[in-house]
Amino acid sequence: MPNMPLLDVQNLTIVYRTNAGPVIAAEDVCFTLERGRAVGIVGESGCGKTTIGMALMGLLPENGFVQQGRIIIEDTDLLSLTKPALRALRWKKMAMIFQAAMNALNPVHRVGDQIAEAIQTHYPDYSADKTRKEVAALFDLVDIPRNRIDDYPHQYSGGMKQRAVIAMALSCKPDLIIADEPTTALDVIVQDQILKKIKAFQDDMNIATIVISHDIGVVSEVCDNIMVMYKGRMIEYGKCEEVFMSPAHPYTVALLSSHLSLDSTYDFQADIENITEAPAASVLPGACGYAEKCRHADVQCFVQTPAWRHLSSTHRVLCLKVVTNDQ
Amino acid sequence: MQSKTETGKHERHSYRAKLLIDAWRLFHDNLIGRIGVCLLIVFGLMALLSYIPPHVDPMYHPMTGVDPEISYASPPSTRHWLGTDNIGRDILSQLLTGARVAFLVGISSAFISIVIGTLIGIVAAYWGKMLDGLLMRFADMVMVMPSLLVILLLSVLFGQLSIWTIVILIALFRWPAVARVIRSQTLSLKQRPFIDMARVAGASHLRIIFRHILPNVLPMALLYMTFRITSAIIVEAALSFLGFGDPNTVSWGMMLQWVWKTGHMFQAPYWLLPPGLCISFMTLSFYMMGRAMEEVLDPRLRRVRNAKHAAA
Amino acid sequence: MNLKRMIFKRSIEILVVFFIILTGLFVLFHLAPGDPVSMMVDLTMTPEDVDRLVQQLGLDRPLWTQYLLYLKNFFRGNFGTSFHYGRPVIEIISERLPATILLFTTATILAAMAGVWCGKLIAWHKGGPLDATVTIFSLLCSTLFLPWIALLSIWFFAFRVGWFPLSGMITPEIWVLPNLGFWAKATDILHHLLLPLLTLCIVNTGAYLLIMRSSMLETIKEDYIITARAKGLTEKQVRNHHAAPNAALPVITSVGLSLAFSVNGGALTETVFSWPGIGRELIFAVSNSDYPLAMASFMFIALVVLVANLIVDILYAYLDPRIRY
Repeated sequence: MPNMPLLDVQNLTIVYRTNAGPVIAAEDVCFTLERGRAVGIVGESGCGKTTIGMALMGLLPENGFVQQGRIIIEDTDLLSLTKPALRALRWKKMAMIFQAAMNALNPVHRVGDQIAEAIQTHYPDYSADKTRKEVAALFDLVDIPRNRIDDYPHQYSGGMKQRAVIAMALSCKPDLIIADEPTTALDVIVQDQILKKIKAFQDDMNIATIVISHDIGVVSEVCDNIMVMYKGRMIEYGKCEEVFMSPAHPYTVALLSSHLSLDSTYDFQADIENITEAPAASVLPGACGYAEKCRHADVQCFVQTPAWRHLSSTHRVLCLKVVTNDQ
Repeated sequence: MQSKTETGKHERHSYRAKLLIDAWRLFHDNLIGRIGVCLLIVFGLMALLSYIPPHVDPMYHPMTGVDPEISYASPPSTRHWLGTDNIGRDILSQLLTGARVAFLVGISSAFISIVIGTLIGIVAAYWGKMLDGLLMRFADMVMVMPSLLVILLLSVLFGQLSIWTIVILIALFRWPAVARVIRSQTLSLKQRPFIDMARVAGASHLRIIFRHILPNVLPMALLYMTFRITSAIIVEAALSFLGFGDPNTVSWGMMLQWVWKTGHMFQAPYWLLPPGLCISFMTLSFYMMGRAMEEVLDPRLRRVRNAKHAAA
Repeated sequence: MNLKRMIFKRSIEILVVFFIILTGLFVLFHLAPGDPVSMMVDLTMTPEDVDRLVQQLGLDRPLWTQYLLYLKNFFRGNFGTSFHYGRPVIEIISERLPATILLFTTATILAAMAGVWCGKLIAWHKGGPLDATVTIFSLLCSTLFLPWIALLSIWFFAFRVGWFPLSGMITPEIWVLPNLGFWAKATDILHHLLLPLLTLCIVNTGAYLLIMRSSMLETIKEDYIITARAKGLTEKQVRNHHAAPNAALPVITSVGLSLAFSVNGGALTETVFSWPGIGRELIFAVSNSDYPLAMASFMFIALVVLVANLIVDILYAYLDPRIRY
């Protein structure tokens, strides 16, 4: 069925137990994703975007748990799976591209071996020779010379490491790839190459992609849809063009104006200053988390729980005071 | 201007006081640290009480006091709570005196070694280059020396060592680890702007070292002092155990040597057990205190569990 | 390859350090109070013997000639005659060295391996009752006073229970038997070895275990551990193949740093168990003011420590590709 989404996330709420009591890291997150499509999750650090990625992989840290909601990939509900069943799905169904600068590769093993390990875990009947050939093919795919297969991660450049991580993610031909900050800490040219690669695989192999980034520019290059998050909540969701051309939530506006050129008429100065201080995730009262920093907020915003407003069939926003483009 | 610096000073003082209070609270919350401190208090009391027995009766003197009626190793009794050694000396009073000697050796030797280590560490990091390389190579060399055996060798060349010579010798072999840690701390301090500011303002090298660097590396040096204390106590005990201790003092190691050399280890568990237990528990308590202090001083170890993921 | 260059460089360094130690010993010997001649002369020596010794050591010649002779004698393996045994020192050393190396290497390797293995397991079950028990137990063990625990284990395992011999390395009555096979000899040595080995391991394992545990807890937070889990590996694979090899590296460093300390402990253990090793010989020589034997024993112990350091360095480089390549 081509119409059925590959991934269906419903009302996902994730909570961390901490010494200071429970902290809601993500609240009521809903979205769907079809094969060959890409969705970007944007927000500042601490907004819960990585938490969602980890929850999709079933890799929440020990003190984190899904309080409610469902994650359905094809027909399987991830949250109802046993540990071994989930392990079998990982990497084969959904794989992850980690930020290579964050030591996603183990320093004591050869890069090729680390990729081969993933293949052999999921295809135990492959011979060593066949696995080796697969790894070599993957290296070709991401443009790393074959003679670097037996090198160690520290011998790679930043861009090569990132490509190796992509090769690793592709190794078991997953249906869904979650790319968490795939280009952070890379220089602009390499960043562009990496993004093009991700885009190409998404189209060629019909892979669904989730790109998680704090950089709305990165997301807009690769994704069809954008989800903006703030303090654990989705606050705006829509097609890339829609969110870019007519951002509705004041936070999205601020985020965009900090990214776009300065010819906008919007007075974003105050908002930019606000974004730079990273908020700590904290228990949200019902009201809008952005109210304190929002220049459009009034009393209502502080007390009333905002509801989704649909601006079009694909574009929705969680705000009481929708900012329109012509403001 | 005057008042401004005054308030700055005041703020800095209250900031330091707050840090101290925080540190104490963290330390207090630490179970291992609490156990360590309690054990140390017990040993401290032992050391203080060691002055009492000889006043009660001369026969309780740890070295010279001999029970006129007992001239053999006797098990615990009302007269000798922990029994006597083979010539009728009171084991309890020896044990109490041993605590005093252990504190003396441990603390003084550790103090000397952290003074040496801190100075060498700061000098190496502050002047860098050749001097740094030389000093650190030297530190490496001292570090691979089996200190106990070197001190033994010295005692064969120079004759009987007094307790103070032992203290100093132990210190001379125990500074390299301190120097390494202090050096790396100083190196990172050197990157901070306030050192440059002080230099631009015309502060002398000595002033920069004593006013700006030393106060910042001092906590780490103190932490290392607790670890040096444990190793000093162990080396002194081992020396005494082998019969190279100062014959004018009683130490726990020496008591063990007496049990061993007089062949009482199979017959007199009441004599064999207490000194060994004391050495082991005293080193344990300093070690526990050190671990707890480490946790207080090193924010890396204190980090809230999974904070990294909770924030993401 | 880079590894070879590293080994070469470290070997040169070790030679230099050893040379400095030799020089230091020479200086100490001459700083010591008393006449060097009288220190090297035994009461039983005839005047001709004394003359020959003075000639050999150059004690009547200028200091720098003495120094050169001292170095020459060292490299020729000429360490003089032991006062106590009345035999060339080099003979005694070559008899004792294998016993020390046997005890020291097996104890170090066993303790490190046991520490790494246990530390790995308990770190994985952090916070549980097992973790707390093992951590406190190893904290206790690592601060035990070694000679004391050696005496206790002799008292209990050898004297009371009688599982092991009281002391020594061999049972002389067995070894005098004709046509005694290799395996019988090996078993006899092993029987004597176990108790000192156990004693050394009790004390050392605790320390390595604690290091491995905390290193493991740090490693678990690394991103490549998440990668490994994400790949669908089992927890055991993640632990053994991804976390442990990285976490073991600091343990190896600390084995290297604590070698000198282990040698102290080794000498004490040898003495208490009458294990005929070089550490016991040094302590024995020091007690008897047997200068030639004491000096030579010390030199060889220093050499053992330095070589062991080199081996640890090579092992580290072998396990950490960041050093190797």
